Amino acid sequence: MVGTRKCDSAVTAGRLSKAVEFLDAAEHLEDDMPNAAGDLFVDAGIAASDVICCVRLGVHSSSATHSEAVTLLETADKGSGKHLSTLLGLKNKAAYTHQALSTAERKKMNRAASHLVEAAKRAVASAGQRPDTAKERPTDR
Amino acid sequence: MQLNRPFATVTPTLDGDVLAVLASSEVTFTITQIQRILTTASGEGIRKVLTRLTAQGVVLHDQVGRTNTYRLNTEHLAAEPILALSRLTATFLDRLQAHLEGWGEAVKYAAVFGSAATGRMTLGSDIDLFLVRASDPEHAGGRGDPEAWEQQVTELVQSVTAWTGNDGRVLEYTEDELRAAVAAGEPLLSDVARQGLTVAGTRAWLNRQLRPIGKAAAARRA
Repeated sequence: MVGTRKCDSAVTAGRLSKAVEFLDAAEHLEDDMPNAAGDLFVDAGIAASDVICCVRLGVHSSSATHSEAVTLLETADKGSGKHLSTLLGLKNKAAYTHQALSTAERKKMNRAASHLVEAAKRAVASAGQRPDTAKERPTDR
Repeated sequence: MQLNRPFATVTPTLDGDVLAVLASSEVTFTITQIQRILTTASGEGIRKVLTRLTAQGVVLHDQVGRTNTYRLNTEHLAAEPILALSRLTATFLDRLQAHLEGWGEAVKYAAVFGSAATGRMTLGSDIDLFLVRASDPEHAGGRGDPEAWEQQVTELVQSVTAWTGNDGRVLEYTEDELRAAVAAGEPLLSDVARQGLTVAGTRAWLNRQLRPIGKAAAARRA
């Protein structure tokens, strides 16, 4: 698949661990440092999306285009794409502009990131953590 | 059962694992992709399974150039039960959630943790449940009675066993006990917050209770 990177269980476990860490840090900072928290909510959502795609499709997005990442996630987990879209839509405001995130935007980002992290954990629970085998496979002939 | 291998409830063979992959998404898969997801199966084994399932009409086979692709035939009569089997973990968590909703505000937080949450279940694994009970009898409503709570917990454990065939194991705290455990630096609580699948309350609430653990850890690192 174009714009994707293959992943094994080491990648899945590492990305899940980071997703939880980013979310926890964001919630911890939310009241005092809302923009930093917003950026961390985005990081949490992206890491969680990678986990879902790795578990279900064996690849995660490596595309710089937001819409491709959202489409891939929607393929792996119907209904989750809109949460990633919410986060990516506010990423620039949180990280790269002079404007501050509003309370409503921050809450929206928290809900979206929390949904994705929970969905990632459930995906791992239902499919299992399989041993690492990152070797290349023969072609599909 | 193993929540991480839902099809093993009806077939312990590779057929079930392959169906689980195909049912997880509506996209087409190549044998290599399925093998990468399953990791322990051989390409030849997967190919044989797909040939069998294609002959049954459950799987649709296509050839794009020299690449063979496969997907679940969602119009097949068997597709609905196959999809239902693939969703057993979600069904289990939804049932738990609905069951605990009936407890009202008596339960502040609940989560599945341990191997059932991390995808490492074996057939004999217990299903670990973490429960935090409201300390304030006002919030506990008419269910504040310790005996009634105990009865509810017993029924919950029985239900988990009936639904899955596995033993349910409950780790329960009142809010006061949780605060004491946090102060004592109980490491299991961090595991629950990190890995647990929330089925009542919110993870943000649990994290707020656990924050002193994080601060203590930071102080130790300093």
